[in-house]
Amino acid sequence: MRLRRKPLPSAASHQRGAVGGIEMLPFGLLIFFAGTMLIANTWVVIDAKMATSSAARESVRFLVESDGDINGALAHGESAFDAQVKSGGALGSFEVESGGVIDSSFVRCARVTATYEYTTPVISVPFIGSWGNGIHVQSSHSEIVDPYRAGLGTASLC
Amino acid sequence: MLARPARGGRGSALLLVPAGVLIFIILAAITVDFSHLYLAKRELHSVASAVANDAAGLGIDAVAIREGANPTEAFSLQLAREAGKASFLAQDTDGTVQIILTTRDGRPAISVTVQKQVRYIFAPGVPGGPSQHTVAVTAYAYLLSEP
Repeated sequence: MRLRRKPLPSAASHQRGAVGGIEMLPFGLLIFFAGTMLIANTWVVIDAKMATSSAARESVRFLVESDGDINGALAHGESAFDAQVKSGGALGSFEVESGGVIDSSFVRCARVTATYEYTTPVISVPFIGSWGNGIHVQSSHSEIVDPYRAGLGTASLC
Repeated sequence: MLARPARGGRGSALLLVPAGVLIFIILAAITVDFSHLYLAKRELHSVASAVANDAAGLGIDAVAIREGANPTEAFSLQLAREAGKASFLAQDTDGTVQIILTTRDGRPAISVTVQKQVRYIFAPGVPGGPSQHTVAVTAYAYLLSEP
């Protein structure tokens, strides 16, 4: 039996086809990074909007139904916000409309509106750029003070 | 006998990378668009609940209730609609609202349906893709003398 040495493959044969698509790699990676950052930024805004709308709703519900005060309701809303956005930092405010009918504004059937604001941190995206110091998100919710709730005086707007 | 891999396929993985990345981004964009729809639906549900609560609260004559009438007898649909529309205008949203008196699970209830057109974020960038979607949400407030 005669043994023959197997010829070694040439180095060039492993590179076949590589040149045909290699220039797409940096483009693909660039699209990947830019697209991912754009989507991440969009998601941050949607997440913040969900959190601020939850905070506004929960704080108004707390105020119109329970015996708590405005500070308690603000804290309640901030807790709802912090449960979704861990870093916190939402700014809440209340407006109570009684139409100037009576002296004390917080009475039954008075309209209570809570507004929560938050500025989301954003990353600069290639091709698109930055959005300044962040994107401002704001949500509000409005309800009347429950006409049948306890804990208030005899004054009423109903 | 194992088949030899075709030599013509060498290097094709390089071209698959950007294609895969593009598919990943498209899927992520679809996720964000649907999350945006979900956010709109959640917000509309909050609005509809608030309108239903306000309409039920102000549609019932409190004096009649204190005199012993049940909530259905003391209820005025016209007052409830006026209160509901005022409540809807006070919300930070647009769209249309419909308030009707109905029964649900055998109990009298106010049904509030809020409808709104929501624009997609990324889908309009796709040729032939949809630009908006109609979101409709219904909330109920029961007319009961006991919770």
